[in-house]
Amino acid sequence: MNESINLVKIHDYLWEIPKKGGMRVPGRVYATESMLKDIQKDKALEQVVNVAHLPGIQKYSIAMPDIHWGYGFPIGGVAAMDVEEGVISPGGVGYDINCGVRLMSTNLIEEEVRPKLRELVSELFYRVPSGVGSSGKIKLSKNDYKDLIKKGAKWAVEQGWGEAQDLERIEDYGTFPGANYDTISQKAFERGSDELGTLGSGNHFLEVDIVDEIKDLQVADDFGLFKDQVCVMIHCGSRGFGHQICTDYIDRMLSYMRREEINLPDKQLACAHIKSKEGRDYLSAFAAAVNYAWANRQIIMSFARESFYRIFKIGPRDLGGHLVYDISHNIAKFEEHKVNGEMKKVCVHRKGATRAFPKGHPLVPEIYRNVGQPVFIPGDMGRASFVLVGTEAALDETFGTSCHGAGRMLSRNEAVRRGKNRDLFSELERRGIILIARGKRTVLEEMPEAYKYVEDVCDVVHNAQIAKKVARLRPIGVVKG
Amino acid sequence: MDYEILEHTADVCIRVYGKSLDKLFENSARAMMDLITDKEKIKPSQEIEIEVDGETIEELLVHWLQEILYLHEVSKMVFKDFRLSLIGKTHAKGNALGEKIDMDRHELLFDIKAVTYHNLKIEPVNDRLKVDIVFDV
Repeated sequence: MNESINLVKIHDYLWEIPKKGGMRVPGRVYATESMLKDIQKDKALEQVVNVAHLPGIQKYSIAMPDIHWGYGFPIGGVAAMDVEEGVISPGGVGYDINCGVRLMSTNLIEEEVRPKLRELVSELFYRVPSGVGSSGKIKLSKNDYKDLIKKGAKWAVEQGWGEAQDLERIEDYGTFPGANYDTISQKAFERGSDELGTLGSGNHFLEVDIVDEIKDLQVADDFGLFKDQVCVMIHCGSRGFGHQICTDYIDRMLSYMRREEINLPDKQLACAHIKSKEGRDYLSAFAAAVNYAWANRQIIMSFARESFYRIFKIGPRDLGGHLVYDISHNIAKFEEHKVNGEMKKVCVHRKGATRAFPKGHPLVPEIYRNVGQPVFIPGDMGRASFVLVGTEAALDETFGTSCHGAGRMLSRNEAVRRGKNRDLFSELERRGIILIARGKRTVLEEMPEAYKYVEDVCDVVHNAQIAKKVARLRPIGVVKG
Repeated sequence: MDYEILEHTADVCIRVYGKSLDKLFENSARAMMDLITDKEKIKPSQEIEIEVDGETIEELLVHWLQEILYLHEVSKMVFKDFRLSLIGKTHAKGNALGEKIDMDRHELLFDIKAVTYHNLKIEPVNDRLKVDIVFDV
């Protein structure tokens, strides 16, 4: 229990950690009082406090309701840094650079898919390699890499994975600027060379979902969603390529910090000034990993479309298969935000947090500019996931950010211990969910009870108005690593 | 007991002991490999030499584990045992004994993305050294 951290209530869904010691700004936590009791059981709030020590941090060190104990930054943490004086922290993005979620809608409804659901999930499992150490059929040459790291999802579309219009529905249109081949280690290229088009393991997944309940009819319609519709949700990131880039740059930044005499409470917060050579080099390598992750999700979606074509013997027109949107929840972005009444360029770190911009914002892709940015909050594999939309309040309070998931409640070991004698495959099947997974242990680690109930987390962001509920999805098919 | 697994909500944390720095490093690698797969099923048919540098002893330990992780992922190998000698406090030479992954024999349990520096500190406890290591999984 972390009783030394004082919390002041701002309203029912927001708490402040007052500035103390070396904190440059206060901390702010979005949660209900009962959630706070769980949050206080581990060291997550201590990490919110640690992040508040980073040079150049603006306004608040923010935590979302799905906050949990990470390393360095908490998972569910948001921090915006002054571009001139501030720092960039690879740990504030995470090892899985541009880990994110995309949602594809279809023209199909549940009763059309049910009869062949098991075949569909098997086909998805076969086409999308998953599991620990999964490698795919795509092998990247040096020239492929050079093109891929500059173009991202656009590269994947050019290679035949998907359609040009998919790019209109991705943050930054699926291409992050500034990637530089020379800032990336050989090890990173090697680790990523056979992992494109693969899911990986842990909490990554591919799901067949049903739109179970519409919460905002107008916005759902604008997103192309309707009740009983079949959708596909994909959660993964930049695989070993991104992991190695983060690893490499944490080391470079530890050297930088010694040289510049920057002292922080936790080494894993390793950082460098945005304007420094180390900072700029990281951002160039990071951009490459962001693009890798977008290409990865683009390719996996393309595999998903092909699976539907084959199993249901239909073509693209009948399937629909439209990308709704693709969000990044391990990312750093240069954006303009209001700080002390004035617009200011900042670098927003979102580690396990999702951008949630309102309608009218110039960074929302044109196609949704009059609606607002879609936000996806995946829950656990047995219950539900949510689609939300960004709001003005988010822009004012959280640098335009909302939460990213349900948040773990049990450690992986505890989940495995509790699930030892359970057969989750049969349990889920009785509830109409077909689960196929490579690793039995992963399934136990990821069992529904290991997570908070996602609707509780979404209620907090909805009630705090930092995103608004649009639709609830429920899984009927799950592919896990 | 050379190591134990500690509770950590999202990631995996191990506590490792060793009578000397060399042993602490070797035991850390064994512990990491135990998380990845069942070491009993590995035949030590290949020996890979590993050499690492680090500006501090903690960084040297993290680099040693990162190098093993890299070999596991890129050379597709699993390791049964390790030997290591420190040369000063910034350089280490060692080797890893193992074989290529055979999916029929080796079940891979954890996909360790990275070795983190989170709260990493080598400390003496009684007559041994102790370190807690958090892995991102």
